[in-house]
Amino acid sequence: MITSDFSAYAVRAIVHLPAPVMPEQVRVRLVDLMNSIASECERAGATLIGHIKCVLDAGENGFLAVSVTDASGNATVRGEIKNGIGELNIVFNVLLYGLTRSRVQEIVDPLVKMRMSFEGARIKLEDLEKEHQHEHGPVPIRMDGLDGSGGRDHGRQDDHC
Amino acid sequence: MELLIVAGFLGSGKTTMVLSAISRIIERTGKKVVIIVNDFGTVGIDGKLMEKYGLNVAELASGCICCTLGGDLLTTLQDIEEKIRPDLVVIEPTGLADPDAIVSALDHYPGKPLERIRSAVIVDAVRFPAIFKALNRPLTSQVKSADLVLINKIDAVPADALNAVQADLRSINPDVPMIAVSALNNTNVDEAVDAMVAS
Repeated sequence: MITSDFSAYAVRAIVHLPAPVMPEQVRVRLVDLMNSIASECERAGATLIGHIKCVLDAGENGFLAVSVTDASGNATVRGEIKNGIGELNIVFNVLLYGLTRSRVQEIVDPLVKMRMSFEGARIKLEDLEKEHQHEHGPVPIRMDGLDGSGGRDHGRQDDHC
Repeated sequence: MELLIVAGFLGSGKTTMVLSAISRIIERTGKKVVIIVNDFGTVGIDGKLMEKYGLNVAELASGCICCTLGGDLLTTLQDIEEKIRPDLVVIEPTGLADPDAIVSALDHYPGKPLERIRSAVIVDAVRFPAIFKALNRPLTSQVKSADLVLINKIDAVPADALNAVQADLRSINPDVPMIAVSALNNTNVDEAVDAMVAS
């Protein structure tokens, strides 16, 4: 179902915080951010939102996964975070129709910076596609839990459907 | 080794369905189960989410197994067969995949002959009209090739909208078993599991 107007954009946000923030604050901001991404993409001309999702991995403190499929403001949330966290590591994946990848990036990046700007926070964004292309070459296929070593690499092809 | 392909358009609730169904499948059948996830994007969010729920996941990230990653799927599958020897492998392809193309790729599986391949297609009851309009051909193809259709998110649509979705799906594939579910709320998930693992 990849058509010429399909776009995929993936970005990682690392948010360094001067002091731990409470889980509920993070949850509220993340849900708000995801709903904002959906509505801004729709406003910019997205003809169909495929799936906009993110996962915040807080290690032993838990995780939050937020998912949006339209601009109705009804993001769904899975998981929970315990205790305050001093650094947020969030991966976003935006899959939609009707906007170019660069247009999606123009929408997503500023929104992430704005909504995740806790007081004194430093935010770094990594375009995951670019990072892999420029620094690591082809993306390996991970096979976790199959041999107990925590992962092995296989080659992969870059083309899509 | 049996395969169950859980397909469906982006955001239809495939991961939620797998998370809701997998423990029931294991409890009901006693089978050893492995999940292969193919997420579209360099970092597989769905696979990561499943790992967070304690599942063993083989992840094919970036690209789509129904086309460019077909060879990798076969390699991964053979690796799993040799190392884990599962009874059942659940494959969750990207929401862009054509299940028929995956089945075709599996024709070339070099390991022991596969006992059975079934495909369950998840349909988003809320967005079905919009998706059907925008991507009619591929969605029709998915539903036509399905062994089972699960109409998901029924908690979020009124009865008349659900009836309309069912009618449209029936016009595409009159004979396919169809179950209305809410994977998020666990509505009719037991029934869906029965149909997915039915012999």
